[in-house]
Amino acid sequence: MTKKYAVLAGVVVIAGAIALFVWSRRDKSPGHAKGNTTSVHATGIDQADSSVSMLTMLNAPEGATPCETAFNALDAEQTAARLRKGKSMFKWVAPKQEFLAQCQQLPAETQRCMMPRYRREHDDCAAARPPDAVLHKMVIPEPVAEEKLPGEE
Amino acid sequence: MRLIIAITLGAALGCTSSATTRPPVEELDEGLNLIDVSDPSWGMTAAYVKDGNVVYVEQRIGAMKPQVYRDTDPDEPSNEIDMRFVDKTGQTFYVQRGGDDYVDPTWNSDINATLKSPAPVDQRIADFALAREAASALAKSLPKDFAALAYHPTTFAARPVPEEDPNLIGRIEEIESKRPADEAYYDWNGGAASWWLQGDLYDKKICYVWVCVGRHSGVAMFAYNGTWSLVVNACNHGNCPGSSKLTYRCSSNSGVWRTNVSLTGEHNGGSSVAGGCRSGYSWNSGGNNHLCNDDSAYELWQIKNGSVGDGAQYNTNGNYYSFVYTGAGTGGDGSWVNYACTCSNNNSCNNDWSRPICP
Repeated sequence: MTKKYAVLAGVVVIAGAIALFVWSRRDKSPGHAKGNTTSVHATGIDQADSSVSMLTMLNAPEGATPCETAFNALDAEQTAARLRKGKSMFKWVAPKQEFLAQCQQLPAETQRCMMPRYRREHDDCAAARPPDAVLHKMVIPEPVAEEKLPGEE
Repeated sequence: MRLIIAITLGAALGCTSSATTRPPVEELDEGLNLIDVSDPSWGMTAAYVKDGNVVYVEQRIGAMKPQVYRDTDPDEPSNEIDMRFVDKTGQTFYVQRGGDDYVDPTWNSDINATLKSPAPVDQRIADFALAREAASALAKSLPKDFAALAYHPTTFAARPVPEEDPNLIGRIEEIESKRPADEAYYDWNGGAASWWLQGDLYDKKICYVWVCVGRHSGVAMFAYNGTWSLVVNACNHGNCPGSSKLTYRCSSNSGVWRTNVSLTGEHNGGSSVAGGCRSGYSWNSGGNNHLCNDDSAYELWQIKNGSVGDGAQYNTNGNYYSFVYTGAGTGGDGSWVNYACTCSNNNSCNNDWSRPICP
């Protein structure tokens, strides 16, 4: 009988310990009804060709120079478009050495503005755009039907 | 600064609750009171007291933004965030929404309640001034793990209040001159309240290597009744109107004082008549989808008409999916500008990569 009580007491102690552990690990914050934080409605944006282009360029590896970083971004974008059989933002991109040779002749600020991660932080890059004749020796954009307001790119 | 963690009885018992506790002003300290900063993945609630007046600040975390928005603006919060300011009577007088629906759907009815019963002018002017102070104090005082929730208060604090907004202050003379005579000093407690509405369109270009693939836009919606009494700031999933990322472009207004107004913004209603775009959201907007500029167009039309629903210049194409409006084309060619929630239904979804016009 004593043994039976000892087992029972042991079970009670273990159950108590488990309850205490669960209670101590409970969510201490007030019970907030949270919103749905998974991007359900807007997630379609990421599937568009233009989004893939931008994401690829923004996440391309850093190069040794601004021009190489810019080339890495354009090269990655072209590869991504080819792999997913999507539409690229650019009709043509010069081979690497040709691209770098042309790019390195540009003013320093224009070289920096070629880099997507730099451009992201600098709206004033609109003013650093090289003339078409120069730009098109490095890259030819796909025509985009876009609205231009005074002073814009 | 006072820290209050409000735990409702329901929460203490372990069930979930969206109820917000707003202690009355007499129970709060002067200055900033952090009422609930227990969970940064949910949001926060605070109050700011000055000279016997109080405003409450609430933020709620919504959907994760699309990856391309997160990578384009890595300094902004990763999630869409709703933020609002509530006055001492419980009226919402400023609300900013990250996406198409409020994280807490009760905010919609709170906005409607504000539109039914305008606050006294002096009170509302004081509320906005206090809200700016509150936002500034809040941004500096939130705990470290609430950094994302400091972003929008910081932006709000840097903006002019409606009484000082250059896009609004020049309008008062015209608005007041059009106020119906019998509405001049409308009974605050009875009848339907009258409003003048204005929507300001903000946008930005999205460009890399001098190729601009589109625009993001949002609309700041204002309701005037003796002063700018209510603001609904629609971010449409991306940068918010009034942030340094977007530029003011143009505005629309109701043209007359209106009653029974609704400022829901685009919110994925059952049809384009009942509240917005029913289709999915995508930058491939021509394939049964819509994007931020469709949202903005819808919001500007809501300002123009004072509500959703068929109006003189508001045409749903009869299909209850899309909507169009007449007016000068974005390019100024005078053609119809066709913003559509489901372009395939009308086969001419033009212009929604551009900013909408201001009707």
